[in-house]
Amino acid sequence: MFPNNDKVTVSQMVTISILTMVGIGILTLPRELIGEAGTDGWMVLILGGLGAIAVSFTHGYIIKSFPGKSYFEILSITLTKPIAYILGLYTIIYLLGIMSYVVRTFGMTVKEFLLPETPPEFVILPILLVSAYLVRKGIEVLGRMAEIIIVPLSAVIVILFFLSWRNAEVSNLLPVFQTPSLQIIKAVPFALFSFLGFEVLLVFGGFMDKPKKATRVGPIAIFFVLLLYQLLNASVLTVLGSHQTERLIWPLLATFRTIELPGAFIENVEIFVMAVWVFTVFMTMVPLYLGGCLLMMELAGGKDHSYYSLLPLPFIAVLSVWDDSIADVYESLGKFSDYTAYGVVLLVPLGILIALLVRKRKKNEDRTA
Amino acid sequence: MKKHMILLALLMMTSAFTGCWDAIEIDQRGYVMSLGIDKYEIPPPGKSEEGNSPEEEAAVPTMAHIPEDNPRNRFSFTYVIPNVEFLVGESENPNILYNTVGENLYSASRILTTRINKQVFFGHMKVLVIGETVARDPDMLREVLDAIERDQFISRRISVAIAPDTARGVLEVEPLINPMTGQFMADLFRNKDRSPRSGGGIMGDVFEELHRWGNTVIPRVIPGEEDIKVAGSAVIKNYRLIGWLGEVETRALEIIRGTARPGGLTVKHQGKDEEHIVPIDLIYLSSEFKLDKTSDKIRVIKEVKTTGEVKQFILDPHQDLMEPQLIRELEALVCEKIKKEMKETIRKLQEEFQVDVLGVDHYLSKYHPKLWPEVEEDWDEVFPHIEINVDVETKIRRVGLTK
Repeated sequence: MFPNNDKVTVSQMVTISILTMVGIGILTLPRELIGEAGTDGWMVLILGGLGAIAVSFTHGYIIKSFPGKSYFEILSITLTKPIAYILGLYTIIYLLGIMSYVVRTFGMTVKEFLLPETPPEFVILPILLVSAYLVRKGIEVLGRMAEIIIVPLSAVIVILFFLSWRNAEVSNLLPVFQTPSLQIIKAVPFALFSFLGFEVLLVFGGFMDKPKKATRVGPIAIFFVLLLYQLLNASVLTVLGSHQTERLIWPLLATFRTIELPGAFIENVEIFVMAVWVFTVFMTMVPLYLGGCLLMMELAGGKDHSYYSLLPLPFIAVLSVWDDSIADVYESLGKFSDYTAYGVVLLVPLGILIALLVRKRKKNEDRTA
Repeated sequence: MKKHMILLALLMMTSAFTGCWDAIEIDQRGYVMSLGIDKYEIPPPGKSEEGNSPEEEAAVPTMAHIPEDNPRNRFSFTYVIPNVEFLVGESENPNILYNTVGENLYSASRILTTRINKQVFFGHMKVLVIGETVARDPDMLREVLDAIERDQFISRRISVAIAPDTARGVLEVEPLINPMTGQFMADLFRNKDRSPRSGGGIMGDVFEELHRWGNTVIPRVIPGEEDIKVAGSAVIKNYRLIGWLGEVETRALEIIRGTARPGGLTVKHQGKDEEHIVPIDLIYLSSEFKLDKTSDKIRVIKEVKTTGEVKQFILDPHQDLMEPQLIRELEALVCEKIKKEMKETIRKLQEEFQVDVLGVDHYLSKYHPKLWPEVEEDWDEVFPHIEINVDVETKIRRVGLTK
């Protein structure tokens, strides 16, 4: 019925990007924003969002310049083949590494809130297997899945936020404009990282049916995520107050724990939140996983990435249980993304861009010569 | 091929249906409706013999022996578990009360499972009662509150109250109107809509204030013979109970904090030749701080707006309530009374307790972020000397059905 021609539309790509960005970060975002800039976190978010839009625009520009070419091909053309192999491997490590942290956070949270007696391995393994199943089906199915999921997901999220506003104290958003501008600027890289996930465009760009429109994908997706983040940050702050938010590990879940539905038979609304969140986490994992598998296929050679879908699974599973405690997880996640995210999101695209310009100039020179 | 599919299906099922690890049948759970926390004190000798006071007999015998004085025995916990058999009419006792001593809530609850055949489950807890002795010890109070906040099953919407004397004494009461103590107290807290004589007592709100600067007020719960009363409040300064506010003082405090629920107020109106008692039902509309910037001392003004309805005047009065002049007089009386109560409470908090639970600190930190950092460090010393003025505006809108 649906021809599997491995193409994604622009809107599918946007939804994939949105769902990849919204993942484990939202649980901790309000607390970290307060740590960075107090109640002025919203400014940091806006600046970070603008930064992310700029970066993702360059990603889109790269895809636009090589319509239909995969990321590895782009790397080989611009930066020569040996470097492309190294950078491809680097990107794989980044994608699958981040994925394993997502899996770990998912396992921890589920164990904490839903299944306290269940061994975490049995929380992690099923979702990994399900992800692998979706990865086998490729980008087109992922795109459709993203489109199906995003509408009910946004509806539920908005309803939940409305419910939480019953206990809101709007003046908790004050004071504003009190953080020194230097501190805010220092916090921007952190905010930019809270939008991580838009870089999947680089890997999936080659599958877009209209690569000319690739530059739109990132900015649109980041805009929506920025809206969500602002809503989330404001809701958490108004409900919990800044001092309390700072103390809670997962302030977002605590916010929903304050919801009380009078007369309803459901006592703990946060169960819905967890259910919704499982979907968003799943949709964060799968694009990263798929991206990793596609790159692996190209690096190792082959025509069908589905052969590779189970291959990294044991590594992800082991990596995801590597850190001992929750404190170690958040610390090593910070270190890991410091070493990889800057490279994958900023430096490598920058390298491609420079190579692109050099090639262009050379071409012009050749033409004039 | 088919064989493989079946094998695969089996494999998937075993890994997908893993939630069964956490399956506990509903009758295997002991639902703690309310929890009382006291400091453990060795009972005076001889008490063990006469331990059969009427209240204790009503409860299922709780302690096999008097626990020895051991450094581990720091807390005394009282768990109220509703008796399911009572609900279906098979038992006389509405509540099952368990009392256990221990070093902390977690281990005491774990040890309790050696004495009951159910899993102690806090997921449906409604009320937490803290004994005065615990509240007066900042370390112990912080310990138990952290245990409550850290627990993933205890809701942030539970009610919290402090009992003068012991929490156990409160929980042992079986109120006549609804002998299920836990449920009764939960309803009592919800019901406070018609009286502002106690604070909100929502756990999450208490946490928020404690996380801020360690000061808050928590409702007081007083046991009676066959009822329980939630009125008045305990003042917590730096995680330590330092004193009590009475019912009227609590009302004034709630008005200042802007959390007062609708409630009544009675004024005496001096007519031409007679004096009338006039109760007025009031709704507290708004309560705002203003900083007076003209003086170099910190001077804040509290502006309160209320609206109300006259509930009683007198049969066939000389001067009836359809005269706007009389309404103005009554309004002035109400304002004066509220003002007086508020001033008295402010004085008590500034001079006696020297603790800012009025929310001046919160107001300054939000609306005057330039001024606040200067005083934040030693706010405890600054607060008793700032000037707090009150300004009340009352509008009586309705007078009932008669003139």
